Order: sequence, then structure tokens, then C-alpha cells
Amino acid sequence: MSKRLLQIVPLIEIENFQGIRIRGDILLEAIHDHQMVFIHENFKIKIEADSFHVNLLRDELLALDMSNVKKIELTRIED
Amino acid sequence: MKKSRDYRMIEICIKRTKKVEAFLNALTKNNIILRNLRLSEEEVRFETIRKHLKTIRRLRYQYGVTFHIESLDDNQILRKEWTVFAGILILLFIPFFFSQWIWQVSIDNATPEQEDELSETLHDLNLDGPIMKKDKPDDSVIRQYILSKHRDLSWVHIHRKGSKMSFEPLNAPAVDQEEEKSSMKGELYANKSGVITHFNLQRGERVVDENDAVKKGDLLVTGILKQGEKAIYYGADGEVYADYWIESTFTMPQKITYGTMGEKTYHFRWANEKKSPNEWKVVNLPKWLSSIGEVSIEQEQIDKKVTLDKNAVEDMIVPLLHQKYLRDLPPKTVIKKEKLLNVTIDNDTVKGKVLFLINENIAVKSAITKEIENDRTTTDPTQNARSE
Repeated sequence: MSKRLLQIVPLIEIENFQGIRIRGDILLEAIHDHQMVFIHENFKIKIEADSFHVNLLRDELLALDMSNVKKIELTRIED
Repeated sequence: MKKSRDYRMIEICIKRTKKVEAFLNALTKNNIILRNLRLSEEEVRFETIRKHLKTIRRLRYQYGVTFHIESLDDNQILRKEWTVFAGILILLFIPFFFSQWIWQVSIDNATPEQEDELSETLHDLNLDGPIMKKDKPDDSVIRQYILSKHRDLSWVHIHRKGSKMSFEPLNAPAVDQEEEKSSMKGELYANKSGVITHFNLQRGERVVDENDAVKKGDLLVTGILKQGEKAIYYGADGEVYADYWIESTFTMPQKITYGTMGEKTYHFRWANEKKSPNEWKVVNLPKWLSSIGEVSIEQEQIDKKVTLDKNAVEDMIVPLLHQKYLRDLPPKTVIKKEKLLNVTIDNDTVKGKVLFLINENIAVKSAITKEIENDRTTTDPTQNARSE
């Protein structure tokens, strides 16, 4: 879980399928024009969209704008 | 103290390799905030602050990533920094601060004597140097004081333009003393031979007409009016203009050297330095500055050599002669025409003859004497005496 003192919830926010803000331990795995894969806590998140624009990326926060989202996949990572 | 330069935004552009993701992860783990991250096929761009450059460079070697930096703030004219705002405030404050003073006080359209006297009066009023606008007395008070000190003035215009103030004295009208002169009754005679062109008479009766040829000493305008046997002496006054030709010959060497003024240069001289001999004109500086030094205009004299030919005579010598005659002749005289009659160049000497057609007032006043009076009147002498 998050180590941040303030703002630990909500864990995931999705708004109008255009913006996503993820708080917690984030590790980028693949960033491409139309596809982004990153590991968040125990999940692997895969997003497919026409284009991405990362508003902010810092330790434990990712604010991402997407246009025309096609697919979001969350996969639990087994130990 | 934080360096404002450290907080300026930069844009980093990374070439895509397999290690880009790991590099970005490493940046975030090092507490570097990445903004506006954009992705494309060849590169990944993001913005951050300059402070992190050192860490970014260290990690870049570790991950073998190549990037280039673009400064975003350099394109910005006004950065959001307190030094910039303080600079703008000072920039606005300086002109405002200096505009609170009147820096230059001048006296216009006055004779040098008047200027000296007026500047003394202004000195008494403490108006001669830089003065604060709010300390300046009202214009009407200044004017009243000046007029009380200078009885020969009828008014003083006070103009103020920005930080300059100028005084323009107006003389009281002088009492006309020409009445006495004109009271002499006389007649107008020709002092030169010529052809009459026009009259400008105040009094008198024309004896000759326009286009008449007159000789020196001829009567032009009479001041005696005859009424039957009676003669009335009212005098003649005015101008009679006539055309006449002047012939002028000149001889000069073919090669002439003349001095002409060269370029003007400004020179600054400290108050304790000696004056330069070439100094031509001193620039008026504000008093507080003139105590430190003086700015003068110097103009060098250049010698020019010319070899005269026929065209050069017409272009150079004739205008010079024109100016010479015009200067010698009385005012209102006009040179109507000039003709170069002949030019001969012989043994390095140029000889020539020029004709000038001059239009000048040829009338001179001569008092009516008894002889003239007797010559022209055939009436009884007792009657003349009575009328006189």
C-alpha cells in the first residue's frame, strides 16, 4: 500500500475514459504511442488508446490523459 | 539562498531505446517530477526543473540513454521571479522619480543682456537649477516678480514642457522716434541710372513713369503740389525701384585652395582640463552637470583644391559674386539676372566678366531748398513765403 501520508484513497480514479490518476508504487514497463504498460502495486495495467499524454509522473503518482481509450486490462501478478 | 536559475523549467528529449522505461522509473525513484511527458515513435519528451539536471546526467550514463536539453524559460521575456518584478518596478520608478524635477531652465528669444539679467532674477527666485516641481512657485507669482524687476518688459511667457522650463520675455513697445525724421520735407531723386520698374510711395507725386529710363540726379517724385498759382509743400516719401546692370570682372589663379568645414565631433572635457583650440561651440548642459565638465563641438577645417574650368566658373565663382553684391547692396535689393559674358583661361589665370541685372531702390531724399522752389514756381515770392 501507499507510503504517502496524505491521500491514499482512492486507489484508482477513472474519469470519462480520458484521464486516469494512479497513486501508489508505480513502475513503467512499456511506453509506446498507442500502448502503455505499468505495474501498480500487485497489478499489471495495460492501456490501449490513440494517444497518451502524461501530465505528471513522480514517485507514487501518475496523472495520465488519453484520447479514445480502447482497452484497459488489470492483471494480478502472482508471486 | 535558493537560486532562481535552479527552478527554471527545461525540456528533455530522450531518444527511444529499450531502457527508456527503466530510466524514467529511476528518475521517479530519485524524486524527480516529470511533467508533460509526450510519446512519439522516435523520442520521449518531458519537462522538469534545472535543479535535477545533475541527477538526470548521472542516471543517463548508468542507463546509456542519450538526450538533449531545451530551455523553456529562456524564451520567456518576463520570468516569474522576484528579481524580474523588482527590476520592472525600478524601471518604472526611475523615470517617475526624475520627472519630479525641472532639470533645464532656459531663456528664449532674448538679447544676451536680457538673458544675463533674467538669469540673475531667476537665481534670486531659486529657479536656475534643478528644482522640484512641487517647490516651484505659481507661474503668475514668477511673472509678477520678473516684471517688477524688469520694467522694460511688458510680459514674460513661461512655457513648461516635461522637465524643461523656458522663459520668453516680451519687450515693452519702444516709443517711435521716426516721426521727427520723416518730418523733413523733401523730394526723391535718382542716385543711380536705370529703368524704373515700380513705386512704393507714401507721399508725393510721380514725375517719371514706370519703364522710363532715368539718369543719376533726375527728379523722380516731387513733394510740391501746384494748385494754379499756389504751391503746397507736403514733401515726398517712399521707394522707387529701378533695374540697372552691373559689370563685374574677376581674375584669379586657375588652381585655388579653399578651406571648408569638416565633420562635427563632440568632445567631453573635465572641468580641470585645458580648453582645446579647435573648440567651436559649447553645448548647454544642466548646471549640476556643467560643474563636472563641458561638452563642446569641434569642427575641423579641411583644405580643398579645385582647378577651375568654364563650368566651374559658372558653378562656383558666379554664385560667390552674386552673394558678394547682394551683401553690399541695401536690403530689399534683388538680383534678377546674371550673365557670364566671357571667360579666358591663360597661363594658370582665369579672367572673366559677369553682368548682373539689379533691381534696387534708387530714390534718395533731398530737402526742398529755396532754389528749387524758385526754379519751379513762377508765382509771386510773397505768396510763397506766406504758404511756407
